[in-house]
This record gives sequence, structure tokens and C-alpha cells, in this order.
Amino acid sequence: MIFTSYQFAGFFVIVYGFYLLLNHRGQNLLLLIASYVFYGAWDYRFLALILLSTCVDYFCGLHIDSSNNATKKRAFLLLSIGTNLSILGFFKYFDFFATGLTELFSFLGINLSYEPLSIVLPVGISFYTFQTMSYSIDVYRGDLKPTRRFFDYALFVAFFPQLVAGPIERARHLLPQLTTPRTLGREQFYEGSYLIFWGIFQKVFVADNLAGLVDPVFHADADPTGGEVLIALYAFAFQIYCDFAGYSNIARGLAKVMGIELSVNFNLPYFATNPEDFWRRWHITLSNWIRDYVFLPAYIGLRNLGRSGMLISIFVTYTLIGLWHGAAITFVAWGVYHAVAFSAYQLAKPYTSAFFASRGERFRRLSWPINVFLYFHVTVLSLLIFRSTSLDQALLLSQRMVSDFHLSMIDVVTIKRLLFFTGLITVVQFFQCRYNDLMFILRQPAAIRALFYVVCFYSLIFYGHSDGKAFIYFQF
Amino acid sequence: MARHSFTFSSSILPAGALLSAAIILVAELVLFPKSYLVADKSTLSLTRTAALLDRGPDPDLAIIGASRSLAIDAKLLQDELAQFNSVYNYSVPSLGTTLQFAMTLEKLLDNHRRPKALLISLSPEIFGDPNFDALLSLEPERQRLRRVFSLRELFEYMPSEEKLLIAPTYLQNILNSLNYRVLIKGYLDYVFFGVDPFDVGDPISRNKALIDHMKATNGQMLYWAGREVADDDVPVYQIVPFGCTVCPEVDGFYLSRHAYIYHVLGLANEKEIPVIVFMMPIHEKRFMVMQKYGNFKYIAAAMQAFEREFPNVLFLEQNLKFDKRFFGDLSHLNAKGARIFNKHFLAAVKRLFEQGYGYKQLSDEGLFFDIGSPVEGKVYLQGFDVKEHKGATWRWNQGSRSTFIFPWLRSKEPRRYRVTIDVQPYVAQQNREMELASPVESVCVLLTPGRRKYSVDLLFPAGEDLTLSAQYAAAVSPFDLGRGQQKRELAVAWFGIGLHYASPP
Repeated sequence: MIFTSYQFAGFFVIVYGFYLLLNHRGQNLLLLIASYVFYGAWDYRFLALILLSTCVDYFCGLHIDSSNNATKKRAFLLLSIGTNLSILGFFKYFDFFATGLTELFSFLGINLSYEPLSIVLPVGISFYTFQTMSYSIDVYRGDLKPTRRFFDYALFVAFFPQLVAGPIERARHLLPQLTTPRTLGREQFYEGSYLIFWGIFQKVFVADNLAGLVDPVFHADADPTGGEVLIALYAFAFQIYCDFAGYSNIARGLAKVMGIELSVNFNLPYFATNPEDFWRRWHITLSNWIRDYVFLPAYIGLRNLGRSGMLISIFVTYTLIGLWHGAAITFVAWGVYHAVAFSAYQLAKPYTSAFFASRGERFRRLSWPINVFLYFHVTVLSLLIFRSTSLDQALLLSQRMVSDFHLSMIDVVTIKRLLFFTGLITVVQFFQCRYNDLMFILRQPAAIRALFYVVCFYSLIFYGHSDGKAFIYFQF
Repeated sequence: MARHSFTFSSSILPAGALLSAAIILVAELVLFPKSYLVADKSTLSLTRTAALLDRGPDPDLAIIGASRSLAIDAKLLQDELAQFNSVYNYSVPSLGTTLQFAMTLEKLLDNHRRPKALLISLSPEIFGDPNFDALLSLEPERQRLRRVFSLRELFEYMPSEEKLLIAPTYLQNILNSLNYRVLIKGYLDYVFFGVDPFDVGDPISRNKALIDHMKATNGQMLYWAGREVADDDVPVYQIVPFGCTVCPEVDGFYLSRHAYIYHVLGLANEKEIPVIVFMMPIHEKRFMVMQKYGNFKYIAAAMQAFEREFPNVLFLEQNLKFDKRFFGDLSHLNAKGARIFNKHFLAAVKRLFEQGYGYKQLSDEGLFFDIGSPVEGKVYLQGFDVKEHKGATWRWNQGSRSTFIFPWLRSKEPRRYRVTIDVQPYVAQQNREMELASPVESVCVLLTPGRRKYSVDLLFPAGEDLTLSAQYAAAVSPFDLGRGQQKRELAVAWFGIGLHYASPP
């Protein structure tokens, strides 16, 4: 049941209608049932995994909190993390590592035979396992009191707007909103509705249409020119962003109209000027999760190694981020690419900071668009690895961009299409960035808002795909 | 109760949303209904057929078919067939599916006076592919339905097994912009990107010319008027008649596989409308493929089965094999082909109607019309009204005279019929005379008290709907009776009318 499908629209209308009629406890029970129905619509068998993860973390949380024995606390934490990582590891990474080991042994002259199990990946597994692990860790650290209400906790794990593709919520942010009665203001309702509408526009108009420019170039049998690769990369940059940010916006909007605030997951990432800035804007909830539970512990643990410790922490962190996206060497390479960029930035930071400081505010303002332009292209190049089906393809397409690039060979219609599908979102994001306000449109006069809504509405009507394409991040 | 408190905030008002809703509403009601001007030819003719069915004049002769029969020049038939004052082509480009034939006929009968006759064009494909009608999962097909039929009509006309598809079909195309989205997108592609997905150039000026042509010909639309099909075009499909080369002589075998045709012909039969079934010419290459697979045997057997099942149906046998020069593509005639076909088709149809075809010939047993159960023993007519009963029209339009018209019954030559009436006089317990008349002669019948049958022989003219008049002896018009309303009982209660040939044909 995809957010942009007619089935989901019908599902949500029914759920929301009952939601408005019920009291707080009834609402939570309704949301829990609806969440399981929503998830079960994909594959009801995997509900067992969610229930397993929910039960284990709920009881581990209670025992971690109630126990005075540090060893016992740690044992329950390890049980919680072990369970979630086992689920994740088996369903997502088993084939990847088993195949990798087989190849390694083969390289060493030991022939092992392994037939991949072709395990079906449960949708959203990376999101809810990370969410539940953060709960146990926070309870262990003493940052959070565990909830005793099982159904509230189960809803925290399975809340359908963010169940299958995030945002990855922290318990300390979402759980209190579930355990206490909610109020819904009119302003909140409008903002939620706007987020849903804008999210659908990002997904259906921008991302789904750009797929038509991207997929042929990255097809296994494709033989694109360098210019075609470049255009496809630009298109993919917008596609992946609008696909994921669109989903996040719809998720936030759905939650918002029910009086629940989810975390912002994207904050104009293509206006980032450096790697640090980019990861504060791109998939923010994952970045924060990795920062808090991987990078900082690793960095603190390795601080005695000085700069080397920092670099090791960065590489471990970004490799994990890459691996989180999928069990493929391309994702690992993509993570390493960002680790290199981040490390280079960290190493150069003292010098660049001094350079900018010596030239004053005006220079900084003038250099902003250049930095944005440059870092946007750093990101776009990373997406070549991300989107390629293999490192060989990534290498081949990179070579094409260098050796087979002629402006005259770029199809004008393709460029027009790229500009057509990205024009409005670029303009809107520019103003969002300029006024530092993601709700910029809602602050405009009624006539401008109306024009904006009408343009978006008819863009969706005429260029929307009625078959409802799946969101890219579901596979992660 | 809910624990929500809705708080008013003046910082964000829904004015933008309301204003955009108003703009969208105006666009949907004013701008997008004109979207057929950017449509492809099929959609254009669909829109026109829908308008004809909704608001067009009543047809004496109606043509129902798929895209190929759009080549028929209905205006030519109207000019040349003296029996029919109005002839319209209601063909619906529908990939040949017969579901829409049935729905079109239902709508035609709902919105218009019953036509005197129907010409139904069947595509040969429907006799080869048992799944040919299962096309509703396609978006263009759903949009076709939406363009021609309203929600009520869809629910009413769709076969029960398809009714579940109606709501999603309709909702997905409920707005005019949604209904034409594929075409408008094509036009926007043409405007913005210079891409012409439908290969039509500027559709607006082309469509205006096509609309004028359709108006002038009562519905003719040629897909490729000036083109000849390319030599290297080959039939892209092969029709296999359910694996039978020697077709079994079992009616049910054919009828069960053509539910929608069965429905169309059955409906026409129920309404006593004579039907001529025909096929449009077939490209010579396709003809050869069909011949190879024995399709014509199958079609002939199917048609015979339909003719046996429905006495109002006649299959018009024509030369179906046409030279490739007469086709714009593998299916559709070009202007030259249409001209030749229309000439031959007109001649064949004219001959049939001049011979008096199309009307149910009486069997040896004749026919008896059970007029029904008079309310409280009396039949009432509202004023000077016209009523229909089982295909007969009866009028109370000349004071004390009733006229019965049987439009489906027409003789090739002047015929003498034995007319039997089953009546009971009301007015007095004494004998009364009633005059029964055809257009050419009349006979008096002496009615006696009580319900009885009376038979008389009457001569009826050739080539006209059988019309019988009854002049009541004791009846006067409602106004003469001094009543404030134009309602009165007839002088007799009618129970039935029987018709037989007075002598063997």
C-alpha cells in the first residue's frame, strides 16, 4: 500500500475518520491496528518480525531500567541489539557476506560452494530495527524512562506513516506524543495537509517522471554517451531526493494531521556547502542516529589516537551508512566516497576556516553559491556509484563522462524535460533556503498559494503515474 | 469523544486552498470539457458519439459499431433511404469490444425514440479471441467508458460481473482533466518539448476540420483519409477460432462466447427492432490469414446461430475482401475505400429495405399480443397520449379513435392479415359497432356484451409499418364528456390483438 496509491487514500480516509471520533486510548489502539494492517498489506508474514522486535525491546527496556546490576543491564542491552541485528543481518546481509566469504576463500584457493538463499527483504526493516535499538540504548544510557504501556510501545515501533521508510524516530521524541493525549490545531492541520500535498508532488511529479530519464542510462544493456550519463546523474540527484524527501514529507504530514510531530528528515540538502553541512541536511534522522550511536562512541573511544582515531571513526561511520542502504559493494563504495570527502573536509577545515575568516562576511556570502555548486557536484558524482548496479558499471560510466562527452550529443528534449520536472521544486527550494523556512509557501499571499496549488495539482494530474511507483527507499 | 481542540489561527487561512479549489472548479467546468480539441481521432469521435447519444436527434436508423464502421457515411444513407428520415452513426472506437455496443444501444434506447432499424457492425476479431472484451484494466479503455457514459449509466448498463469495476473506473476519471489527461499531456509535450507523441501536428485545427466533417456526414470519421497502407505492413495478429476448423453445430457454443453481442441482439429483439448485422471490409492480407484459420466458417456458423435465436436479425453477406489500396492502415478504410464501400453498402441495404426486409415475418401460428391486465377492468389512456406495449405503439389521438402501430411488422407486398381482437365493451349492455381499419380498407365489427374475440380480414399496404385503427362506436372524447382532465376510459377494454396471414405468403 503505497502512499501515492488510491488504496492508501481510501485506507487513510477511513482510519482518519475513526481517529477523529475516538479518545486518546482508542486512537492509539486504532493506529496500532491500522499500522499492522498497513504493514501486513505488503506481506503479513513479516509482521512476526515486527512483533518479535517489539516484544524483545519492550521487555529489555523494562529490565534494563529496573535492574541495578550493570552486568545485567548490559546483558539485556546486548539481547536487544543482538536480536535486532540478527533480524537485520539475516534478512538483509546474509547472502552478501556469505557470497563475499565464498569469493574470499576462492581467492585464497579454497573452493567453497554457496548458493545464495535469495532471502526476501522485509520492507522497512532497516528503519524499525534502528528505531527500536535506539530505544534500548537510550534506556541503557539513562536518557529515557521506558514505557510500561506495551501497546504504546508497539505503536512507537509500528506507527504506519514512518514504518517503512522513516523518519527514524527516537523514542524520547515520539513516545511521549503517543503516551499523552494529543491536541490538533488548525494550523497544524493545514501544515500537515500541505506536507502531504507537497510530498506527493515531489514523489509523483518529480521523482517518478525523472525515473524515465535515469533508468535507461543505468540499464545493464545501455550504451550511453558521456552527456547522457551526466544528464541522467542530475536527474537521479533530483529523483532520489524527491523520492525520499517526498515520502518523508507525506509521512510527516500524515502524522501532523493526527497531532503527532515527526522529525524533519531533509532540509534542502543540495544547498549544502560542505560534507558536514550536507549530512546535517540529508536523511537527518539516520545521520543523527549514526552520529549518536556509532560515530561519537567510536570517536571518543579512539580519541587517544588523535587524528587517526577521527579518520577511523569517519570511515567506519560512512561505511556503515553505505551498508545500511543495501547489501551491495556499490553502497559500501558510496559510503567510502563520502568518508573520503568528509575526512578531506575535516583535515582542511582549519585552513579553510581561517581563509574565510580573513576575508570577511561579504566574501563568505559571495562564495556561498560557488560552494553550493561545487558540493552539489560532489554529491552528484557520489550518486553515480550509488545508482550503478556494479562498480564496473560505475567505472564505465565515469569513463564515458570523461572520454565521450560532447555538448552537441546531448538531446535537447532530454534537457528540456529535466528542467521541466525540476524547475518548480528548484525555485521553491531556493526561496525556502533564502528565507530559511521550509513552510515558505504557507507564508505567501493567498493568490500565490492558490497559483502554486493549481500548478502542482495539474502537474500531478497530467504527469502523474496512475500505477503508483514504489518509493526507492522501501528497498533499504 | 475526541480530545482534540481545534484552535483558530489567523496566521494561516485556507484562503489559498479555497481559491485554488475555485480555480480548479472553473477549469474543470469551462476549460477541460473542450479538451477533445486536443484529442486523438478516436477520442474525438467518442466525444461526438456521447453528445449525439445525450442530446442528438432521434434516429430512424442507427449504426452501432467500432472504429472501422466510423467510415460509414450515415448522411448518404439518410439521403438515399426514403424510409428513414434520420440516420446517425453511433460507432464507438472501442478496440472492437462489444461491451460498448450493448451499452450504446441501452443509452440510445433510454434517451431517444426507438429507431426503426439498427445496423450493427461486428469486428471479425471478436470471433477469434475469447478474452477480447476483457480490456477494462487499461486506462484508455476506462477513459473511453467515462467519456461516453455517466456514472448512473455505467451502473445501469454494465453487466453485473463488471459492475465492481465501475466505481474505480469512474473515480479515476471523474474530473474532465483526468478523463483527458493522456491527451492533454500529449499536447503539453507537443507545446513544451516539441515532442509529438500522437504524430498529429497541431491537433486543434485538425480536430475542428474533423468535427465539421462528422457533422456533415452524421458521424463519418476516417482515420487515414489520404493514406494507403504500406506494402510491408503485415497483420500483427492471428485469429484462432478456439481451435476448431470444423465448427460444431451447437448454438450455445457460439452464444455463450459472445455475451455482449447476445445482449445487443436480444435487447433489439425484445424491443422489436429489426437488425442488420454486417462486417466492414477486411484488408486482403488479413482476409487471407482469417481464411487460413477458418474464421469465416466460424463467423458464418455464429451468425446462423444468432439468426436462429433472434428472428429480427439478418446477417448481411457482402464481399469482405478489399484491396489494400483502399486501406489507410490494416483495419481502417481510407477515403477512397470508404467511398467504394459506402456505395456498395448503400445499395445492399437499400435493396433489403425495399424488399421489405427487416421485419419479423409472421409464422404459421401468427402472433398474439397480450395487452395486459386492465386496471380495475379498464384500460386508461392519459389524454391524447402515445403508449408502447411490447413493440406496438398505440395512440389515442383522434377523439374516439385508437391507433395501433406495429413498426416491426412490414410486408414486402400488400398482404391480407387476419386481425383478431380480444375486447370487452363497457359502455352499454347492448350491441355496438366498432370499425377496424387499415390504411387502405375498413371493416365493421358488431360488439356484444362481455369479453369476446372477433376476427376480421384486412388488407395492409406494402413497405409500411402495420397500422390498425379502431373507431369506437360509443366513445366520445374526454372534453365532450365534460371532464376537467383529459382522462377517460376507452369504450372497450383491450385484452389483446392477434395477427395472422389471411392466406399463405
